[in-house]
Amino acid sequence: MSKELNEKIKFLQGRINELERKLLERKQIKERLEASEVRFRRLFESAQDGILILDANTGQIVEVNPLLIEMLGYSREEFLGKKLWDISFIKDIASSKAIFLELQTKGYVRYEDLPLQTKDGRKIEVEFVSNTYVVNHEKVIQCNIRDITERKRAEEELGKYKGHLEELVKERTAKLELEITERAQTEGALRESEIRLYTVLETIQEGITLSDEAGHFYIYNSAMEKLTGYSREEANVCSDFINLLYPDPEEQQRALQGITELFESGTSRETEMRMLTKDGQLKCILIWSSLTLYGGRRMFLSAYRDITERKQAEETLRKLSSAVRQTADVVIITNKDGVVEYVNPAFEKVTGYTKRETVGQTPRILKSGKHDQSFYEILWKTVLSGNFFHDILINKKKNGELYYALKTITPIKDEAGNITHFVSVDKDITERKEMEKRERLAQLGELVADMAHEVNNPLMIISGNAQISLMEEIQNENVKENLKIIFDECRRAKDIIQRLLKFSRPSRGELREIDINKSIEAVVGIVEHQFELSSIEIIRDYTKDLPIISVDEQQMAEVFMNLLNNSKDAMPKGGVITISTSLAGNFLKIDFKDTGWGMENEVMGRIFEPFFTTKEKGTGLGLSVCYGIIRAHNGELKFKSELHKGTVATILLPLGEDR
Amino acid sequence: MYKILVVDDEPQIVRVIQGFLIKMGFEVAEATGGEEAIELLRSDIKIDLMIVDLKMPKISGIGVLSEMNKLNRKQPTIILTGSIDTSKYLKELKDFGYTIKDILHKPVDLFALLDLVKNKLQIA
Repeated sequence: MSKELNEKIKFLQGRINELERKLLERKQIKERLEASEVRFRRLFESAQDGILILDANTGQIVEVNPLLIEMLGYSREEFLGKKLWDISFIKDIASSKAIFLELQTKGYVRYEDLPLQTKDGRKIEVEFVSNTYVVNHEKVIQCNIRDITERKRAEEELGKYKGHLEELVKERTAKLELEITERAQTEGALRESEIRLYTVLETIQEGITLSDEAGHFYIYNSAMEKLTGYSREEANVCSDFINLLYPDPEEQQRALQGITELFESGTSRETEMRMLTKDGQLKCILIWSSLTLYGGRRMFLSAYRDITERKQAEETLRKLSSAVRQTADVVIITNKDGVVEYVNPAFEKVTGYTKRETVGQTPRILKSGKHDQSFYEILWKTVLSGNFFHDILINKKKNGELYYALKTITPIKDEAGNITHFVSVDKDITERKEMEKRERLAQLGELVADMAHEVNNPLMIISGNAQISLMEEIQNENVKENLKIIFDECRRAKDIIQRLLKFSRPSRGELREIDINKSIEAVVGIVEHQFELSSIEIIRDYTKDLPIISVDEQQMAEVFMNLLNNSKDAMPKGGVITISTSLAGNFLKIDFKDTGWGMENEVMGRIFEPFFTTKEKGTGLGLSVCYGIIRAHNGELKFKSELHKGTVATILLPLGEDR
Repeated sequence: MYKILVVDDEPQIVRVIQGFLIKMGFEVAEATGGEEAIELLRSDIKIDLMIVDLKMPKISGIGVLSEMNKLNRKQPTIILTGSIDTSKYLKELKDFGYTIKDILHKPVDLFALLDLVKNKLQIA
C-alpha cells in the first residue's frame, strides 16, 4: 500500500511540480508579454513615423500615435472610431476606399509620395506603408505614415542643386578646357622661347657657360666648345677644368682669385685671360662673369670672347703707332685737302713747331721760298693722281733755319680707292748735305793740292825767266812792262793757289795761346780807320776774362779780316758792325753782326764754295778759306742772314781737349 | 866766292835759279834730281849752301837732306818747294833742324831768294 501510495504521492508531487513549473512559466510569459507590451507601446508612442491601426474588417481606426496627431493636426478623439475615409486627410474618399480595398485584398500597400492635407489645410507629402496582421484573432491594418515633405524639399533642392552642380561642372569643365587650351598655348610659347634661346645660345659667337660652384656645367654652348676644343661632357668629366684651361700657374691663380672676388663682391667682373685650348693654342680671352641665382642655387654665368686676333691687331697697331711716334723720321698726316691731322715727335724736334701749333694748319708753314710755284704744283698733281712723290725739299724751321728734307708723300686710299689722307715721311738730311758739301770741298782740296805743285813749277819758270829778263838792259818800255805784268800775274796765280789750299787742306800752323779779344782787336785796329771813312761804326761787345785758347793767330786774323771786309762790302752806304765774344758751353763764340743788305737763301747755300762770289772783284775764296781755317781748328763757322736787315757770322772755337 | 848747289828735277827751274845766282855773283853747282845731288854731296866738292826741291822722283828732297846728314855736311840749306802744303813734310824737316823760315814757295821772287841766301851765308 504504501508503495502504491507512495507511488501516488510521488505522481501527485510530480504533477504539482509540473503545474507549479507551468504556472511559473505562464507567469514569466505574462511578465514577458507585459514587458513587451510596454516596450511596443513606447515604441508606438515615440516612433518617428505616424502610425494608424485600423480594424481590417471594418476599417475603423483603433489606434493612432501622437506623432500622427501632431503631423495632421486632428485630435485622438477625432481619429478613434472613425473610418479611414471619414477623415479627409487623404485627398478624397474614393482614393481612401481604394487604398483600403487594396489593403484588404493584398494585405500590403506602399505609396512613396502620397499627398495629404492637414486639418489646417497644409499639404504635406508622406510615405505611406501599410500591412495587415492578426492580433488576438483579429485582423488589423497598421499604417505607417512618414512626413517626407522635408525630404522631398531636400530632394527637390538636391535635384535643383544637382542641376546647379551640373551647370557648375559644365562651367568648370569649359573653364578647364579653356585653361588647357591656354596652357597648351603657353607651353607652345614656352617651347618656342626655349627654341629661340637655344638658337641664340648656339648662334652667338661667344662661349656661354652656366656652372655651379662644383664646376658642373649646365650650359656650355657650341661656341664654348669651339673656343676651348673641349666638349661639355669633357668639361664636366674633368675634375679640374681650370687647371686644364690655365696651366700657367700665374693665370690659374688669377682665375681662382677671380672666382673668389666674384663671390665676395657679388657683382660681375671682366678679366683678360690666356687660355690653352685642347689643340695647344694659346688664346687671349676676355671673360665676363657674374653670379646668378638659378633654381635657387648660386651659379656662375660666364661669357668668353676670343680676343686673340683683336689683341694681335692691337699689338700691331701699337707697334705701328710707336714706330711712327718713335722714328727719327718726320711724319705728317694730312687730310685730302692737306690740312694737318697728325705730326710725330720727330716733326716737333726737327721743325720746332709743336703738334698743337701744327694740327689744323697746312704744311705750307714750312715753306722756305726756295722752290717755285711749279715745284709745288707738280707735287700736288703727283699725289692727287694717287702716286707717291719723292724729292728733296728745302723747308724752313720755326726759328727760320732751313733744312733739307728727303721727303716721300704717299696718298692713303680707302677701300673704294678714294684718297682720304696723305702721309708725308721725311728725313732731315741737312747734316748729310753738309757732310756731302764738306766731302766735296775736301775732294776739291785734294785736287787743288795736286794741281798746285804741277802749276807752281811752270809758274816758277815763267816768273823766274821774267825776272831775269827784267835784269837785262831793255830799251823797249812796253817789253819791260809786259815782263813786269808776267811776273805780277804769276805772283797772283800763286796767291790764288795758296788760298785755295788753305781752304781745301787747312792746316793750323803754329799754335799760340791767345786772348781772343786781343787778337780781334789787333785786326780791328788795322781796319777801323778805313771803315770809319766808309761811315761804318764798329761796336765792341767783348766778354772779359774769357779762357785762353790755342789757335794759329795769323790764320785766325785772316778769318777776322775776311769777315770784317764782307760786312763792309755789304754796307756800301755805311752801317754798324757789332763784334761780340762770349762763352757758349764748351765753345768760345765770336759774332760779327752787320746791318748790311743780307743774303738770299740761294747765296747762303753757296758761300763756302770756292770761286763763288757776288762781288765784282772777288775771288770767291775769302769765305772758303775762312771755312777751312775754322774747320782746321775743329770749330764751326755759321751764317744767319735776313735780306735788307743784315748778316751775323758766328765762329765757334772749342775749348779744352777738342782743340 | 860762295858755291851754291841747286837741286830740282825740272831743268828749267835749275837754269833760271842758276842764271840768277851767277848774275848775282855766286858760283853754282847744279843737280837735276836727288841722285845727282847725292852724288855731288858725296864728292869732295865744296858747297856753301844748298837750294833743294822737295817733291822729286826717285829721291826726294827729304832723301837728299837725310843723306847730307849722314855725310855730316853742315852747309845751310834753303827748301824751295812747288807744293804749298808743307805740313806733311814739316815734322821731318823739323827733325833735321829746319823751320818754316827755311822754306820758300814756288813761284818765288828771285830777290826774296837772294835775301834768304845772303842771310844764311851771313853776307851783309
